[in-house]
Amino acid sequence: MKLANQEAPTLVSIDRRVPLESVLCTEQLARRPARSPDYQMENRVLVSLIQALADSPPTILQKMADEILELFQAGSAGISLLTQDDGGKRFYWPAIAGVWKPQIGGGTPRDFSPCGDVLDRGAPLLFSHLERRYTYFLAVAPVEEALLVPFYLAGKAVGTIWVVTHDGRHRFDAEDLRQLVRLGTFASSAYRAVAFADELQQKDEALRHNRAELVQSMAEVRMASSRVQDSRLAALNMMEDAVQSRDLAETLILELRREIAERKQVEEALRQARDRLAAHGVQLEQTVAERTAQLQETIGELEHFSYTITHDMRAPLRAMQGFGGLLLSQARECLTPKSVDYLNRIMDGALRMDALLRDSLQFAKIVREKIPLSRVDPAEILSGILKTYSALWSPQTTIECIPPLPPVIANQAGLGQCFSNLLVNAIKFVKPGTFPKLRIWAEIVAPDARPRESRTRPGRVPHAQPSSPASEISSERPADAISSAHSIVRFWFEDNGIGIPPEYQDRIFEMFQQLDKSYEGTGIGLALVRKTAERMGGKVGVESELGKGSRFWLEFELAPPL
Amino acid sequence: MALGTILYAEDEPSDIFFLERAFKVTQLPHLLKAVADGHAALEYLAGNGIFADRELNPLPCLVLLDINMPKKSGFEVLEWIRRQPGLRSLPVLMLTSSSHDADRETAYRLGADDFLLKPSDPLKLDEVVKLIHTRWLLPSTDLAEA
Repeated sequence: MKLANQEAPTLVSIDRRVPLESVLCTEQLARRPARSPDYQMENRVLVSLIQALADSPPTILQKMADEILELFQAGSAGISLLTQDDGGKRFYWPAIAGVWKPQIGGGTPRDFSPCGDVLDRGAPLLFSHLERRYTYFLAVAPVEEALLVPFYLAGKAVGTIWVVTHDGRHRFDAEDLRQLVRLGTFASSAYRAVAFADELQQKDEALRHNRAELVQSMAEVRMASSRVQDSRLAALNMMEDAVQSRDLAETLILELRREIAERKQVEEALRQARDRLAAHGVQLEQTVAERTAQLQETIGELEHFSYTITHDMRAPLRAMQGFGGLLLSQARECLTPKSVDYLNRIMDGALRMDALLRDSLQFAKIVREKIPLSRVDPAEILSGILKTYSALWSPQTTIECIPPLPPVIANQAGLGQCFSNLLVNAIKFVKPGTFPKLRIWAEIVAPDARPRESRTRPGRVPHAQPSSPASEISSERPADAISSAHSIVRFWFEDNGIGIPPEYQDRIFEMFQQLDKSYEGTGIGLALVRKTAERMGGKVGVESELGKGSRFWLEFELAPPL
Repeated sequence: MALGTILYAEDEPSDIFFLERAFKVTQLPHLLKAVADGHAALEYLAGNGIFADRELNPLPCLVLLDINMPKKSGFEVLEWIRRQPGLRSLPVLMLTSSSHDADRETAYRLGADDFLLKPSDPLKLDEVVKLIHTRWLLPSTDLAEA
């Protein structure tokens, strides 16, 4: 059984305790027979201990206990140390050799133990049968003598080194005490060394640990630093990118500003151009208005002039003709044939002059006045003319009209004017003795197929009702806007007259162009026809050979079906 | 004996001559009084100045007007006549050589009763006078026939 962990034997009354002095016999050491110090043995033990210290420092205390046991030929030997964790209330036994070896780890109370007594006295003590006072030893083994010396560490007593005999074979002497003190001193040094080594080792471990931690920390720091570096690089890259982006943005903004400025310049230029154009337009309008006013004034003057012709110039002609006529009828018997001839010439001249003025006025009227266009029936106009013009009623004259004559876009009076002029011309310009023969017919021609190009032969009477184009014609359209896309009606007037030489075929439609003065006329008729036809959006032309008759044609836009 | 007076305003003497002749030829019984310009026509109708004597210058039953005349035109005379309360129903005929549609329209707009053209041959005025007689001087006959 162990003693160490047991509490102080409080069962024993302090009063019944055996006094310390009764178990001490320290003074007997000096009286016991002396012997010479055995240094050889002591040195051997010390060397052994030093060897142990060198080989395995933690075992030094046990080694010392073993060596003491052997050196002293004792029953048990060991070391007691004050506990440190509870402030030194107990002693514990770190190393024991001999009979009590099983008690390693056990111990005794500080205030009631042999060790405590040694520390209290501060000197070695020799006990004899100490179990008499410290009865708790009775449970372990009987103790004959026990020699204890203080054990110091750094000058402070922290325990004891002790050696015990369990029987009477050996009694401790002064030499034992000396050796034990020596060993105690050595043990102290050794312990200190061990403790120092431990401390060193602990410090070393701590250092190692710290170092490892440091290394780890350094690694971490390095990693962190690396990360920081990376982050810094990334940040730098980002900054660089940002700077580049900013530069790009600035460049773009500059470009944009330049573009905006350019656009503004262009717009400004455009605006100025528009303003100038508008100013020009206003100026132009003013000019046009002024010119129009001037023109209208001129036209007014011309109209007044033609009015004057109508009235004042024709009145004397009427007088000439009238008085001439009176002279011929009332004074004929007084006149010589020559005088009658002269008088006739005067009257004829007056008549022609009047016709000339009348036709000129008619021409001016056609040029000046508006000609409203509408759907006109040519057959109706033609029959009206044939009924009205007595000049066409001669029994020698043959007029053949070949139906159908399709309706056209024209003016009733205007188309009548054209037809009658061509009819009168056809029967007028024949060789003396020839019976006038006149054929009239119509054909529908494709746009742009002009007679001079197509050389359409007369006698053929093609007439087909037009399909779609004619239906687009509007009678309200102005005469000069006739589209080439619309069908055209061409009226033919074929006569057996004197014909017209090719070189004059253009001239006959001009004013005052008479090819043959032997025929009565003013030289205005065909010019009037052409002007009237043109004012109605139409055309006039002729195909002729000298001596073989003429074919006059008139073209107008086909009227749409009703 | 004259049945009535016809006033003729015309600046061309030969035209007056031939109309008077036509009256004789057609044996129209009316008295033709001619004046040489528009102003004279107004004076005659108003009975002013030399025309004050209504015995010599009786109010006409018909007026013939040339258009283009000195001092006052035929249109001005026509307008003036139509403004006079006592002359509103007086027949006024334009006798002119103008075939202008505009003149014809103006004449009718101002209240002319007819628009007659002078023939190129003055000897053919007979037909015009016959027309005047038929249309304007025989109203009772027309009424009787009606």
